[in-house]
Amino acid sequence: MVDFKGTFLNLPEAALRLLVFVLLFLSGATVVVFLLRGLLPGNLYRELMDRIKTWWVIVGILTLTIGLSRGLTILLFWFISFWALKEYFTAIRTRPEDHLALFVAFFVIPTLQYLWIWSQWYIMFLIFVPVYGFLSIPFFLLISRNPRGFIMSAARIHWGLMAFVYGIGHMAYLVNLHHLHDPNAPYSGITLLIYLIFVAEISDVFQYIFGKLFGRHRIWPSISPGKTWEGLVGGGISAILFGYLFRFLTPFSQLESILVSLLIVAMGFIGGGVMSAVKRDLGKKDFGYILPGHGGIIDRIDSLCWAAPIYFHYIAYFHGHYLLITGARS
Amino acid sequence: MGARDLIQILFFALVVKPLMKLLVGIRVHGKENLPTGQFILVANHASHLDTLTLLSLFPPSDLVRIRPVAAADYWTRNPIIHGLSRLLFNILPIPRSGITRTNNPLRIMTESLEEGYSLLIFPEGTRDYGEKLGPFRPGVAHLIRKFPHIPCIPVFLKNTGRILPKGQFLPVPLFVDVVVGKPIIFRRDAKLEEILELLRKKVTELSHHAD
Repeated sequence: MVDFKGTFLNLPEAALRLLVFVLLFLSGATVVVFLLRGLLPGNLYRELMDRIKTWWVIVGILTLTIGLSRGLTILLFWFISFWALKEYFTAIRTRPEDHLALFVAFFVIPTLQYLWIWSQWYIMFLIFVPVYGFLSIPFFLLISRNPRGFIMSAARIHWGLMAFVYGIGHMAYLVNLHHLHDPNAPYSGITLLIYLIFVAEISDVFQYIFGKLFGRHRIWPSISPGKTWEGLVGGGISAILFGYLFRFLTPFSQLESILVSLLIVAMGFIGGGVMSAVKRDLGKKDFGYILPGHGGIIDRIDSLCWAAPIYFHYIAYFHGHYLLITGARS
Repeated sequence: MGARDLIQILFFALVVKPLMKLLVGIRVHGKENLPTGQFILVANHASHLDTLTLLSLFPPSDLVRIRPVAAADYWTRNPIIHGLSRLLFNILPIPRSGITRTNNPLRIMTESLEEGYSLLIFPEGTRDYGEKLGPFRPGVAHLIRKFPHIPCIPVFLKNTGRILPKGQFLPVPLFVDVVVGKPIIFRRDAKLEEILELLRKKVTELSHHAD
């Protein structure tokens, strides 16, 4: 086993075990796709290679930031929220009158939200975007004094904040969790975060693979032409299997790990569907181009936007009493 | 290379380009159409960001041969703005009103092209039309008729007017799409109206590629 102890990377033992598995898995995928290059159609080969290369970069960035520090990890999620908002606000229609509200939605609300997360102000983290965000955005729209399109603008802007700042922020808050009584617990906020990303992305990746290999029956042809029942079942079972095997990252019992993985798969599937519907509504195929082979940031994190809050509140409800400081500012 | 050139190159390499990458994120379509020699670049205008965006398409060392044509009444209204815009962007100020024989914008631009500079021109002459494409003012066509051998590059800039519209100073960092069209060489006997109409048509066409 690789031992990073004493190096700059400060990852828990359980996270390192998962990291070794992920690196082996990615290496295997790289080799297999490379060997199949003669058999695959050219554009599929390029798409697969692009996707795998992007995965290498994602795993590298996540490992480095999570291993380096809590603050840096929260900063990374702030940046992911920022970039997702960029993609979302570029894609939707906005009015010139929305300028100030958009500025606040871009810079002020996300920065404050991640500041609450960093300072572990739990109550503020929970209510800031749904309450203060909801109340303040229409105020900044009022300043323009144009009621035409007011509801649309208020709704569109707040929707983006809820999905990409509030939803994604729950992933960042996970890194604050730690066992309050047992400093030697094998799991922590870091491993719980990694577990969520791992199960959600395994579900996505295997839905893609099973869909490509066996996909026949489309679930929502009008929303997402790529989603098939074969893909969903194959991806879901894979994710639950890996979620069960890697439950050492969590305090979950055997049965619980299966249920939580199922929850992540289900919420992730809904999140992916919602973002597909948004793309169809806007007449776009992808939200952006920052992740070669995948599209934009939103195309990669769509499932996590939905899975993260539910996963977080499951943990807060059933395991919060020993993992989470919920009182006033600590 | 003068001190001003060096300052502009460093300013773009160290400040503008990184900021445009991190905050704005420009997507360029048709980058291969960007010329290496002398050119007249014609683009729609909705924001101060337009000049920054266009200049950041080029390697910083090329910038010293490019001058953005700018409204003198705005950019030379006080010595600080005039000095900075000259220092950092090498603007070529031309008057929009009160034109006489000596300050004729056509003469100013002609001299600049004769010195070997490439020009960035916003033929709408104002940011007033925002995201819509306004009518083109005829100066650019006069210029093209005088220099028919210099290729004319039509460009469409999308979203700059949403990011930093006229009258706003807080930017909303959406993505910018830049569509660069193929260089146009006009016939020597092309009429003014023909040139203007074709340029406007080209920029409009490019706007359909911006999605």
